[in-house]
Amino acid sequence: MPTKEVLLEVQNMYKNFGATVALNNVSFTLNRGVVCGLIGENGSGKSTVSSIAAGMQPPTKGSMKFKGEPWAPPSMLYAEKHGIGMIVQEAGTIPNITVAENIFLGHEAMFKQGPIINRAKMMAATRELLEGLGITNIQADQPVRELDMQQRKVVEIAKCMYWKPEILIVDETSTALSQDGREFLYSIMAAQRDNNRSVIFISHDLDEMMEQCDELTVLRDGVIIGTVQKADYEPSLIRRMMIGREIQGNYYRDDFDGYSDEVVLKADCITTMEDLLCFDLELHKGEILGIGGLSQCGMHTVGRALFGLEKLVDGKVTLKDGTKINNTRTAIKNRMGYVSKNRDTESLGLSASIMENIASTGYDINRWHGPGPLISNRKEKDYVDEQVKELSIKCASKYHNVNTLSGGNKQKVVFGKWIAPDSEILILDCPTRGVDVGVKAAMYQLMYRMKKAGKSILLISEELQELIGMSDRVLIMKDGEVRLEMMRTEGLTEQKLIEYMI
Amino acid sequence: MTDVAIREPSSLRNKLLSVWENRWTTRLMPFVILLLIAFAFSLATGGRFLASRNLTIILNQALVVATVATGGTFIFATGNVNLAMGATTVLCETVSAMAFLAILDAGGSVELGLVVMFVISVILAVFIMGFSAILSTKLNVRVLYVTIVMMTLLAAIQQALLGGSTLTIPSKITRMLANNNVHYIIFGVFFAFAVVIFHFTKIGRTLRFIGTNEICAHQTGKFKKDYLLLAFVIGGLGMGLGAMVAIIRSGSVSITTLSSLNMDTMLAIVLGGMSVFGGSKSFVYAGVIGAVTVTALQNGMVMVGVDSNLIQGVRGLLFLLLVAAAQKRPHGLPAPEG
Repeated sequence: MPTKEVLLEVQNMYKNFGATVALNNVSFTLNRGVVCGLIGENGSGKSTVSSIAAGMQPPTKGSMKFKGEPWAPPSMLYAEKHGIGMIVQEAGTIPNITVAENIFLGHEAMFKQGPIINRAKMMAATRELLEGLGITNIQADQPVRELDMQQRKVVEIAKCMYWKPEILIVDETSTALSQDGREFLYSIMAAQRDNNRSVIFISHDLDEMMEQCDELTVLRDGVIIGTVQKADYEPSLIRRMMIGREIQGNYYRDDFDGYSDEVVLKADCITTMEDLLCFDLELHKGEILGIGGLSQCGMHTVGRALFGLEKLVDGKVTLKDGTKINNTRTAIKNRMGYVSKNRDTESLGLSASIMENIASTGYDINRWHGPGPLISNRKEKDYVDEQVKELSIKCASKYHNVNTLSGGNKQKVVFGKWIAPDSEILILDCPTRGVDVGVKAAMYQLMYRMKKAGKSILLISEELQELIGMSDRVLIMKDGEVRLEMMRTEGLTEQKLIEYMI
Repeated sequence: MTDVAIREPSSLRNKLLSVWENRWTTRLMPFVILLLIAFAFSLATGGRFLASRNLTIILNQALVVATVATGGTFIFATGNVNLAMGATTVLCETVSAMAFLAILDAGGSVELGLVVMFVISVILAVFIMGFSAILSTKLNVRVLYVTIVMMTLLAAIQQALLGGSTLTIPSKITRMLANNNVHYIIFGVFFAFAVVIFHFTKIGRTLRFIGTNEICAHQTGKFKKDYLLLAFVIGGLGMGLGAMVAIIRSGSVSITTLSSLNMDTMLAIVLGGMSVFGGSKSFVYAGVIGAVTVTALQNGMVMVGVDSNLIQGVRGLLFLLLVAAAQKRPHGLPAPEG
């Protein structure tokens, strides 16, 4: 039985980023042997408070105690070594060095023999660590660039676990993992609890949080709203605490309206350098076509290939009028849009303003006069204002940089970028990854409105509930092929789909 | 319990931070710096710094750097550093002056000589820059490395052409051009052209977006290789015109002419408020305001008797500090708000 010893105590913590107040007098305690979930909307302060505990940044004001002692870690390395390890939301590995070098980054001195680092010793320690955690598909001497996103996350988990942390902080990591990856993570978390250690778990998936966590602490706008114990879990109550208002229990669409027979986008036996071999697909007018599978099944490559981002070795992608899509310029000219699963690195200019990001798709639309070269500032402002208003992007000004926004609002900017030019075909790769329940609901409503307006959407997702809830037709892929095609029906369940994924 | 308090969140502080984060603060800061420099040197020189004669000297000295830097902002906006701007300008100055003198020697008219000089300078600069951009995109070599090679190559060509000699344009011709304000007209027309292209057309917006995130720009249908060529061509135009302005100003060319032009241009761009990493916070007047600031700084230090070697050191240090201040936030940190 877990004891009630307090492991971490955060008292009256404030954190400001410029004029933005990220934490406002936050206090909470974490007991030993507990998996504590931090839950809240994007921008509520979850990552901020945990990153402060993990030594990533100092608070503006406030104090912490760890194992009863004052705790003010000067760096992540220090925190890691002294008992608090964190797996971050963003990429936390360096691609051009090996798995072993990533795991012991900053701690190389451990393997020093005189002035030289004993590489063999480092490799052996890594192999031992990976074997101990049951990781068999990653080699110690493998460069991280050769690993896929999920494997990189597993390396980060291993890196954290080397130090046997008293507190393991898992920040929005599970969205980067497929089902087997998630199972691995959950087993690590359970082992922490069993060993009388603790976990701070951050995720936007309420079901996952309720299943994995012993207690949930809810944050809203940088303030702790309350803590709910497992016995008292009630989804509607937690959602209400998170967003401060009532939200419908089911935010997916509930119609069975169907779609037109008209094919608007067609992949004809496309083959790519990796993943796809003679792959066919048809997207219809007014259809939401869902594609699901494990992360390496090739579904992400499908989205990229359809948008002209992937070099085709064979086959072709065509629109209804026969136009061949072989690069992004042609795709956009023909009113296609693409939301990448890697939002921050591929879909946004983080150091640019909201205005510049949304306006980037409208240079040819917002011309001053006819085909002239000049852009009208007024038209551009209207173009952006409409999206900021329609999508309720939470910002003090459209001239603020996108990197000051929360994840959900960043994703709204990406959506705005593609909705503004009135895209007819949208390819959405994991569009709700890392966004909270409120933003999710808004995005689903938007997708439905677009469908009703005759737009076509290709929804690529690792969340089966989302695919079932939103798609007119679901394709399940495995090894670059479609293994199952299901129409929207009432009886469609995750279990039916999972069988064909694994 | 140890209190790690740094500062209490206060509304005054938040207001000050809001001002600091405001986009207009970034834009106006270079002007404020220039005014402070002028004020400081005015005090130090007992007002001699602000004498109209000295201000005219500063403006004339700044004109070459301002012209080259205005073109250079197009290249810097894409997040690329060009180290061959100075060498290109000087080579254009050399070749076009040689062509002018050859025409005069052959009995051609001054007017014909001037037109040929102008055309050769611009075409050669555009060609060199276009060639550099194509080399970079076709061979997939970073712009920085290509321009290092070009800088060395162009300097060697100039050395081969000039040897130890000095080319001199007859002073009555340069005086005639200067008296007709031709150098101001060249700069003014080019600057107006650059402002329109950079701030009011798709080209400028796209260059800035590529500098902000190249991958994102590609996914938005903006291909770097096409726009990099455009940026270099416009940059080349600035260098060709800068060479003309330099000839009008000094009237002679030797292998030591404008030896610090590249450094001055880069320093001007960053002092003018632009990041060497380019991107959305780029603006075309950075080169101009920066050129005036660099020249004013140099002029002021000379007036107060600072050693010339020390002046070079101060400029180098300043450049380093500005580049360091503009470093981008590293990836892998948590999103600020949650």
